[in-house]
Amino acid sequence: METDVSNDLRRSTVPQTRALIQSHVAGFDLLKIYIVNLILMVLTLGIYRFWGKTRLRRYIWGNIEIMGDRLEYSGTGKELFIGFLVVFFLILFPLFAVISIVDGLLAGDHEQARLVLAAAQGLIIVFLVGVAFFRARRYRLTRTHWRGIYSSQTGSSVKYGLMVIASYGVTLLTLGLAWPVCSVWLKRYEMKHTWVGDEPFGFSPSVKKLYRSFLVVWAIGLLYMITVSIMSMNLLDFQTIFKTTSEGTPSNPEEIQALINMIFVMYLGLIPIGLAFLWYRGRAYNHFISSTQFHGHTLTSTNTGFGFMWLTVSNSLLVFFTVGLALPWAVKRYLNFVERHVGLVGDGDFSQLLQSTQDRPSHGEGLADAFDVGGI
Amino acid sequence: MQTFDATYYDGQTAVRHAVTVHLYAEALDIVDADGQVIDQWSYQAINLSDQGGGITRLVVKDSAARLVLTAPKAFQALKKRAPNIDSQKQRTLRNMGLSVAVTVTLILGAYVSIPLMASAVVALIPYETEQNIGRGYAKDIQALFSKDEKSNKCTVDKGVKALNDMMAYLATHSFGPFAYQVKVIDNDMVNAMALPGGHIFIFRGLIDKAESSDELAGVLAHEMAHVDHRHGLHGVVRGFGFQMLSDMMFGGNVMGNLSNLMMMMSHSREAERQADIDAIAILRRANISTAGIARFFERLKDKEDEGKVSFFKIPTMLSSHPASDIREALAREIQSPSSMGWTLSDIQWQNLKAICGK
Ligand SMILES: [Zn+2]
Repeated sequence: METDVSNDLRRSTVPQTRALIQSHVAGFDLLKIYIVNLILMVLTLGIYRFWGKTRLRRYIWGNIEIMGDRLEYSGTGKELFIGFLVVFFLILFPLFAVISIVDGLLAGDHEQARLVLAAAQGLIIVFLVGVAFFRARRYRLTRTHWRGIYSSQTGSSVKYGLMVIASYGVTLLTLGLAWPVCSVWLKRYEMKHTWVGDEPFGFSPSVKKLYRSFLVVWAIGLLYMITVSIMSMNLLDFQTIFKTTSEGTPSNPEEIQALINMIFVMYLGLIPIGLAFLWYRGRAYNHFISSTQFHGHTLTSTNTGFGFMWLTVSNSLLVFFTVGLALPWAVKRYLNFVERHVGLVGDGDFSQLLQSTQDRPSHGEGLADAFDVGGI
Repeated sequence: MQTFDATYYDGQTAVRHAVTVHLYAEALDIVDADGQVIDQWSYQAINLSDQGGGITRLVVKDSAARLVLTAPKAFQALKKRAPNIDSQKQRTLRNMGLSVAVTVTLILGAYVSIPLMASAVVALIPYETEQNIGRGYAKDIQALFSKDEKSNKCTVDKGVKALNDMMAYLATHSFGPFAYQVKVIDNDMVNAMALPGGHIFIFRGLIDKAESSDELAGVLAHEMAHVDHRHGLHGVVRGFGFQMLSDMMFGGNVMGNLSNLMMMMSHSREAERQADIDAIAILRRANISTAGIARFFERLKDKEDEGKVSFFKIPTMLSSHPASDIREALAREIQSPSSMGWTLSDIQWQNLKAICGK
């Protein structure tokens, strides 16, 4: 479809499902950007990444069309670099210097205190990853413009970081069972604090619906854990027999077979679990998208769990077998997938939407850079 | 006057305006379908946001409004008038230059500031902690050169006794807070190293090369001075700083672990100077001839000039910075008749030379 931006938007008062997104991303254009970025990254020992990321985003944003108008990315490499410097010198460097010094002081006979310190360090990192994700999201949203108005994010990154700690903790304690509840909790916080112009998103997912899919994955995971532990227990028996009878090379063919079986099951078992999880994620995305409202419109999603699973698997294989060269096409396929499946129900009229009044951070993503969260 | 069609977003609402742009001498007018001028942009303030797929998006300073052009001619006409519109290529080149400059600045900044910060951190670390840290490194070094502690051959009793006697005598004239521990490593390198907390390692090659007990005493005094000044710990902290920098700034370990270890173990020129000055002071207080160490350095220097110094560039007192001005001064002292002072007996010296067995 050609974008005829000089035409007036045709408005329909009857709610109907409309295409929301159209991607104009071209694989070769993207590849060119990736290659230039890679060369400059090497030449600058990685420092160019701030400018390279910006270039990439500018291209991708500028080639995504929402309801007939292309997005615009207005961030700069300088803002990312300053964000990085601020985080490095004001947070990370002092924090890890203090931790290392305290650890050094405790070296020797304070083993328990060191364990506590290590645990605290782990918690701090999980917390900072949460904060990083939320802050990076805020930066990206405030640099995303559509029809001249920009999006934004309210809410507190500290609160979000604490929510991430709590979510991971509860998920761990319930052997994963609490994950859908926690993910809805986090997602709701994200979406309810997301704005385009002067209006926030509505978000109303149902945890019950998610559990219908999640329990399948969880059961497969449980089955896997039980199988592996039974097999390893059997193996332990073999080992004790083996040790009492002879010492030296393993000779018992039964024992060797059991060991091979276990390794086989352990690694091959991960494949169905991974696939099942991707299937769940596809369904969860579908549900999250269709639970989103904005400006009198509701988003719709037609993607299936299997569709998302196939997209992810085929993209991974594509990237793997071309040693990364096909990454641009993987990105393109992903965007085309979104284009195919995400729609909008409503009259399509956004003319009442006003410019945002939210503040925009002057720099960004330092923490996200340090912890490698946030993808593109 | 030139005009062309465009799309305008006012930056206040999400309304798309079909407009006509009129180019004047100093500014352009944005005119809506009713013929009303709804905005006016000065050429000076116009810049490019992005360009691609036949679309050019323009921004104007201090405004959220956007102008989108589709006709290539329109962009060409505007580019002639608006001096601040740059192309994507110009942008990439500018960012490239900027990021190279930033990289160089960061590296230079790190080389200046990290040693300074390391000194401050070292001052905060108690001696006890340094000893704990040093113990760990001592184990690592020994593990590097021999399978286990027992397989190190350089533990012949008489030799160890002679070495420890020398060490103990020198220690009574040294300046530092640490108790020293000296060990010999069975390796051909002409080298010695001082770890944090008083662990000193001497390589057999150095003992083989030493022609008198004065020479070895000089080397020991030099290493003791490194210990006293906590140069080893400084190196560890400095190495940690560089490690962190390379991990975080450059998003990965640029230097590699081996070069990082070397960085940790190597001393700065200033540290070597300090160690030389103190070594001479220790020797003088201990009434040991400084001619020995001077001769030793001189011999090594000659070797180095021939370019035959050990392949393993483990930076130590000997290989990293061989020619300090102090050493030059010492070299002159060789000419003056050496005053005889404290020395190991011939038998002790022979025992020490045979510390690794024969
Ligand atoms: Zn030295």
